[in-house]
Amino acid sequence: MGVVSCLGNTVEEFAEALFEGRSGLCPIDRFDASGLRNALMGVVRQLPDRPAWLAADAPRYRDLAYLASATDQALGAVGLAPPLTDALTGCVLSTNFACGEAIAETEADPTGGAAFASSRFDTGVAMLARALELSGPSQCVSVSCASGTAAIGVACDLIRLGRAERVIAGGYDALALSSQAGLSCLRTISTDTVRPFDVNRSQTIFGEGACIFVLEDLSLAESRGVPIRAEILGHGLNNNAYHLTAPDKEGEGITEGVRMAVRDAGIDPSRIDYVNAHGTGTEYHDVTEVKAIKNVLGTRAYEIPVSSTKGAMGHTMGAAGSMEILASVLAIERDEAPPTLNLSDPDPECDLDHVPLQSKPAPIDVVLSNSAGIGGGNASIVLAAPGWMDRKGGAA
Amino acid sequence: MSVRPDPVVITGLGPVSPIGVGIEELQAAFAGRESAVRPIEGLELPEALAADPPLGAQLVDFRLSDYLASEKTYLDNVSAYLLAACALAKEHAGLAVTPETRTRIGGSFGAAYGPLASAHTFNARVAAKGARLANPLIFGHTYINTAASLVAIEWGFTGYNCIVSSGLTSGLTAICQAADAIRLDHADAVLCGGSDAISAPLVAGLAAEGRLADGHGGLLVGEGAGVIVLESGVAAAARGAAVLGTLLGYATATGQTPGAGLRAAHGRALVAAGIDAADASLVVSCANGIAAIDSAAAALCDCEYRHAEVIAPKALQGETFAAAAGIDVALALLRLGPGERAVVLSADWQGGAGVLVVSR
Repeated sequence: MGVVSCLGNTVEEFAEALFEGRSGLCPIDRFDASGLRNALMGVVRQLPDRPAWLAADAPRYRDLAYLASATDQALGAVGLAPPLTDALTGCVLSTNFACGEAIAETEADPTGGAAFASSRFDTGVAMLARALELSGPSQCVSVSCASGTAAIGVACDLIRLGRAERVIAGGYDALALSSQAGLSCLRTISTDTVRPFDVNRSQTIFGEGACIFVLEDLSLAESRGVPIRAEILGHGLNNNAYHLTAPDKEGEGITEGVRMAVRDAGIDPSRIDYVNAHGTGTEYHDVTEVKAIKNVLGTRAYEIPVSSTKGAMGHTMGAAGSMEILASVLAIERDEAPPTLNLSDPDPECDLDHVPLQSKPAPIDVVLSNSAGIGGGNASIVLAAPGWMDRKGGAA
Repeated sequence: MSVRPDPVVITGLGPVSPIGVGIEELQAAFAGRESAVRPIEGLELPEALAADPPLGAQLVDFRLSDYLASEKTYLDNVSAYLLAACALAKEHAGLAVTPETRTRIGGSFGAAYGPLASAHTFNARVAAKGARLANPLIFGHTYINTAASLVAIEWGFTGYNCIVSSGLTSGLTAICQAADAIRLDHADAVLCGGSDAISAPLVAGLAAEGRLADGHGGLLVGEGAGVIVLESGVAAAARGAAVLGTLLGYATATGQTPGAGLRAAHGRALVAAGIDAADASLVVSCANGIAAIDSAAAALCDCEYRHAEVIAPKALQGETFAAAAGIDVALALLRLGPGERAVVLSADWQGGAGVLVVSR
């Protein structure tokens, strides 16, 4: 696992800040935010160093720097280095906005071929495929703000079907004026801060970064003797089929996405110990998501922690789902649910244990992580502690 | 998790190609070798390009209202083409979205460049007038997954839904992902393929990259959408659907060159299909004027398919990017006899590649 975020540029820094309840949000000074609803964002403080394996002529845009650093960390953590030719290795990445810097350069100078080439959605995939000498399936997926979860789910499917033995997977995005202008004019950005599940919530705050996982077929990981951090049991990926930008207040679509994930995992919903919610702090979404969790988990929803990490790092767009999966893996390892920051006055309609302000110790073996996005896309994933399915998966 | 044992079958075709929209037009135009390639028009291109417009294949006189009854306030052409292709494919398959089936029907679509025109329009206004005056209507149409969302909204299916981007192989990759979704029981039926549209920023960008045809080779830019309906064999049989073909095998791969990627994908796809190259009678080539892609496809065909018919639709309709695979599958099934097999090739200049093996 590797991460670049406003909470830190290593998994250890990320974990420490997240579980200590520290926020990484701050006003952005990289571009003029005066026309936006808020300058507060989850800004990566320090541009990470470029990995040595990245070619000198690889594009030097900020989002790709995040991606390369997170990938380097993830590979290093499991003893891998390019070329990844020891196993059939693919790559599934997600981004909401591709390379905003390259797009802006292209807008300013349409004759700049290099910038145009780097504005393609699969630029990050191509960069890693070339540098790591990948030979397996490689692609970018996008389900807007659910993309980071979708990428992990799609990568998991490639391994399950034997189309790859290993997949470098995760999401990345960098804050840019164009994307923030759009999100601001849609009034999805809070003029205050992000307060998931709070009665005073007033929309969300966006962030940036990258979060990358090395996913491997279990037998490959075991043969290499590397530590297994978690297992993916199943995922769901669907659409509300309701409206392009308005939320489905009944939550039928997100309910179906969660149900798909639990069904694919092959477990009873009562086995879930923690839900990492999408929890954007937007007016309608939080209530809708809580409804969906109750619809699928039933009474179990009232027995377990259900928190949102967006108060700490904002909504990191194409990286959000992946960072939340990272938070979920850490929750399993620590038996501790990360807190929902800025939740001081809970909305009566959000009546689950939303872990306000401080993390909460809890026995956590199985996690459901949810994501949703503009366009009505939903992605959910079920993770478990290593070996849990074999030990307890079939037991009541 | 278990993998469904039944085959993944093709029950609907929805081609929206510069040479013809719908299977009858496409078949007639291809049989008659009708080319849609001519100087690109109707775009506000940079001065140097406008003076000598590059060659390309545009959809002419396309009206979404010919295929869809519902009215739209604003659509990027990427979305309009995809909606039309889905309408055609869905009708061809006789696929009904009902309260009982809506969670089991999905969409998996590719987009190489996505809604570039809308993104350009949105960004230009932000640059000129500031973030405060950004256009919220257009912003919603700048997401690359907007087209897939609009398809789900149009017909009300709440099942599997995703957009895939892998350059020129985007559409084929989306078809592979749809087949994966069916085999893993995420869905019973998936509309899949892809869409891309010619726009001023696309043409200017490709020209700046040096990709466009200049009389000595290069890309003939095209546009459109190609959608097929994939279903589990059991689900198709249960609703009495006519099976047009079977997806015998598929694979995507990455190489340091298009040739390496294509060879790897081809080998894996044949293994997955359980056939030898000698068993295929038709190859739909990905040759598109880019030297590395043309030579990769030619080398594969020379080595493995001297016995087979090889067709290269991009010579007539241009490089239709994510639309290509869906159109190619339609062309293949329209040309194959019963029981015959075809191989559909796709490759990107960055080294990604994919291969489908279909039978009729």
